[in-house]
Parts: sequence; C-alpha cells; structure tokens
Amino acid sequence: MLLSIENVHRRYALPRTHLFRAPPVIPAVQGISLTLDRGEILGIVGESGSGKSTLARMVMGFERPDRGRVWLNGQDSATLPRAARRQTQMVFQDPYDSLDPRRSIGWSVAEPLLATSMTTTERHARAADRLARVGLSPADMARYPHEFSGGQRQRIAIARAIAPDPALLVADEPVAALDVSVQAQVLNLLMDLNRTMGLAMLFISHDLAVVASIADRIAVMQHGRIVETGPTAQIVAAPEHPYTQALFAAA
Amino acid sequence: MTLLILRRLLGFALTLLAISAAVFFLMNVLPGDPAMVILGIESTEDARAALRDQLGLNDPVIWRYLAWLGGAVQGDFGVSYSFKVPVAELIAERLPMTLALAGLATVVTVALALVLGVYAATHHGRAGDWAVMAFSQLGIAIPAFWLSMLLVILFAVTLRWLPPGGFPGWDDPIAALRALILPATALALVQSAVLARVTRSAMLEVMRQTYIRTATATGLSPARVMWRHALPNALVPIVTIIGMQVANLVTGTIVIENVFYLPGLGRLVFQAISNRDLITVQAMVTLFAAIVVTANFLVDLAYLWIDPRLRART
Ligand SMILES: Nc1ncnc2c1ncn2[C@@H]1O[C@H](COP(=O)(O)OP(=O)(O)OP(=O)(O)O)[C@@H](O)[C@H]1O
Ligand SMILES: [Mg+2]
Repeated sequence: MLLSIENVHRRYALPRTHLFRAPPVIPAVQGISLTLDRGEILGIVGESGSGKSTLARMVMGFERPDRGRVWLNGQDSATLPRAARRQTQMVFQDPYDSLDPRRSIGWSVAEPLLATSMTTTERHARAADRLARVGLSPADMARYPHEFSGGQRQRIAIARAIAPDPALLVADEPVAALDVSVQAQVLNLLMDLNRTMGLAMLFISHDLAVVASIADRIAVMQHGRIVETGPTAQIVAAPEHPYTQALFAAA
Repeated sequence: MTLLILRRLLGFALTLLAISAAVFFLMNVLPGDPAMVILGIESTEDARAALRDQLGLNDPVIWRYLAWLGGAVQGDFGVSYSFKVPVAELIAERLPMTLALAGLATVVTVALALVLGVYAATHHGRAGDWAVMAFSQLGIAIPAFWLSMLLVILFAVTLRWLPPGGFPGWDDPIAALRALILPATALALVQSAVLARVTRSAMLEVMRQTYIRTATATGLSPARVMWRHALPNALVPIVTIIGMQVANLVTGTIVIENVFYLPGLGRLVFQAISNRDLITVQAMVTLFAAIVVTANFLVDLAYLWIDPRLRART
C-alpha cells in the first residue's frame, strides 16, 4: 500500500467576527479514509469547496490533519523527513505562475535533484530525459517559462515533479486552466507516465468526465466527506448517490 | 541585447551633457567675481578687468561652455580660482577617499537591508518583524549628522574602539578602513532603514506567488526557496531603490566628510563653495552628477540581468 488516509479531519477557523463569540469554523474535511496502491490512479471529484485541495495538502504534508493520519509507504506523513517527502510530488492548477520566471526551465526541472547525491552531469541528463518524456525537446532547457504556452508550461511542471522519481503524484486540477484541446493531451501524458514509470496518482478535479477518463477508481466528495467510491466503470455505469448522479447530469 | 545596452549608453552620455550644461549656465547667473577671488579685495578694478579678459570671462556664455566642455572631455577642468592648482588634480587626490566611503556605505546598506528585510518578511506579523519595522522607523526619523555624533560619542569617545574623525591616508589600509567605518555606518544606517522596508514588502509580495509554493512543494528547504527564488524575484524594486539611494549616499558624503574631517570630495565642494571658486564647483557638481548617472546606468543593466523577459525583448 503506497498511500493510506485514515479518518482525517481538518477545520479552518475564520477571523473572529464578534468579540465574545467563538470565531466561525469551516469543517473542510470531516473524516475521510482512502487507500492508493502503487501504480494506481485514484480520482477525487467534487464541487468547489468540497475539500479536495485541503485533502491534497494533508497528503503532501503541507498541513497536518486535526484528527486522523496520512501514511505514506507505512510512514506517518506528518513526521516524514524532507528527503522522504520527495517521494510525493505535486502538480498544481495554474501553469502560468508555477515556474520561477527568472530561471531557465532546465534549471527548474533539475533543482529538486540538488538535495540528492547526483552529480551536476547526472542532474542535467535527468532533466533532459524528463523534458523529453513530457514531449519537450532537451534543446529547450535554456529557455525561460514566458517562451512557452500554458499547456507546455504544465508539461514542464510535470517534468519537474517527476524529476526525483516520485512514487506518487498529487495532481490538483492539473488541466482545469487549459484549453479543451490541450486538456486531452495533458491527460494522455499523465496516463502515459502512469504506465511507463508506474507512477501512482491522486488525481483531483471538479469535472467527473475528466476524472472518469483517467482514473482507475473514483471517490466522490461532498462537504468534506466521501459519499461514494468504487471502480471507474462502476461509478460511470451505475452511480448510486444522488450527488454523483447530479455531477453526471452537469457533465 | 547589445542594441539595448548601446541605447542606454547613448542616453547616459546625453544625460551627462544636459546636466553639465545646466550646471554651467546656473553657475553663470550666480553672483561672485572669479577675478576678485583670484586677486583678492585689495586688487584694482583695472587688474581685475584685465584678468577677466584673460580668463575669457567676457566671451559669450555658450562659447565658454563649449570651451569648458572641450577641456572636460579630455580631463582638463581648468585651474581652481582659490587653490591655484588644476581642478583635475584636486579631484584626483580626493576621489578615492569619497568613492571608498560611498562604496563601503553602499555595501553596508545593501547587506544590512537584505538581511533585515528578508528576516522581517519570513517572520511576517511576528516579533522579529515588529523589531525590524521599529528599527527602520527609527532610522528614517534620525538625521544622519545627529546619528554621526551619537556613533562618535559611543564608539570613539566612550568605548575608544574607532577614531572619532580624520583620515590617516592610504599607506596603512587597516587604519584607513578603521577611519571609514563610523562615517560609512552613519551614512548607511538611514539608507538601510529605507531599503529594509522596501525589501520586506517586495519579499511579501513575491512570497504570495504560486511559483514559491510550487518550489516548496518539490521538497526544497525553506532557506533555499527564500534566497534562490523569492529574493531574486523581489530584486526589481530593491535595485530601483538602491539606484536612488546611491545618489543620497554620494551627496550624503558632503555632510559626513565635514562631520568626520575626512579629506574627500565632500569637503572640497564645501570649501569651493565658501571660496566662490566657481570653476571648481562646476567640475564637482558635474562629477557628482556623473557618479549618480553611472549608478543609474548600472541599475538599468542590472534589470537586464534580473529579468530574462527584458533580455529577450530586443
Ligand atoms: N486556509 C484556509 N483558511 C480558511 N478556510 C479555508 C482554507 N482553505 C480552505 N478553506 C475552506 O475550506 C473549504 C474547502 O476548501 P478546498 O480548497 O479544500 O476546496 P476544493 O474542493 O479544493 O475547492 P475548489 O474546487 O474550489 O478548489 C472551503 O470552504 C474553503 O473556503
Ligand atoms: Mg481546490
């Protein structure tokens, strides 16, 4: 088992609105349990505000759950040392602003490898290989982010994420900011990486059709809870929960 | 890229030309008779008139400016009315001291401001942030000459760590450096107070950007994200302010050199003005302007280095 999420909860306290009353609290995630095997793609779908990104942040260890645990490779993610944390990488929604504008893309893709024992030549070769895998030319390494389109930048962000050979990729709305024609290309790329590198994915989207096109299994989230989960074929063929049926109607 | 640099160089030359002309014509409408300065008040009007004629002071202003400019581009700024030696010689003697003072002050300003500004930004809203902001508020409020006196009383008179003023010459570099520490600090503290604020707010702005979050997410250490991603991206406003502060530091040397009895350009300018030594003042003001314009030229070049998008756009 690569990832095991055990009954996690996360609440956010909003700024106090009244001097003598407790500040309002948003229960963003309320008791979620999930597992993910090596090489598997688990899709998380739910409307805006259902707590998907909050769940992703806890998996990445950016935030600790108030209750419950996240296990990565049998280790508690809250106490994982930084080196082990490189085993999980993340791709974000906004490709336009996710790369440092001052650094060439070769530099950015190679940077996560700095803390490893690799030599400069090895890092360079790895960066070139990863750019090639996402469909860019290693000759592009000296170019800067502003010279690329949104879809290309998302590919570069993916190349950087897979540079340290992670076992798990958390992708939070990775195609939501892209044109529909480009979306399919990036989804194909992710499936390709899943197959060739055995990369497991936690794939998050508000769009059930997108999730269904890539995931092996789907978990449907609403108000911080999982209302339905199962193999993609089953969810698509016979959605049980009314919320899932509503998502299909919307798609 | 080369084209861009050439264009900036041309602008640089034109700015200097405009400044020297403006200074020359301003000097001309100021009261004061160079012949009187040279010959003294005992001199006869005939002798003064003869000298004015000899100095070419009766020629049209534009003609005199062109003659002065022709000399200046060859390093000949004329002969000082009061010191009676070539102005170029006066400047050459004093320039190293002032450049060293302004340079040292710039280094102290930038180093102090970056450390304080980055520290405040990474401790936003916490005690360290408040402390830096309080220091900066204090630094902005205190006049440099008053700060100089405080520094002298503390470090020279009470603790006796550093000399209170004067300059031992360059033969002993250690002693020379020791003589420059207090004046450079007095110059730098005020400027670094301003620059630390700018650094802090520029850093806070950049730290909100997505690429900082994504860099952190790849597993980099927070220190690396701060110094290798956030700070370099915050540099544009910081470098802009540094460029403006170089002007303050250079003109600030006039006050500081007089407080600390340092034989630099600042003292010379002071003496030249009180002696109505217009030809020296003319050269000095043009020189100060040249230093400031050079600093701004370097800032423009720095932008090219900072932002790859500017480099491409030529
Ligand atoms: N740092 C925070 N402080 C306060 N409230 C937050 C914070 N982060 C998230 N929330 C709240 O928690 C809830 C869940 O947010 P989350 O971002 O996880 O949703 P999401 O499913 O990712 O939505 P979207 O599809 O819009 O990205 C929302 O109501 C949100 O306003
Ligand atoms: Mg989200």
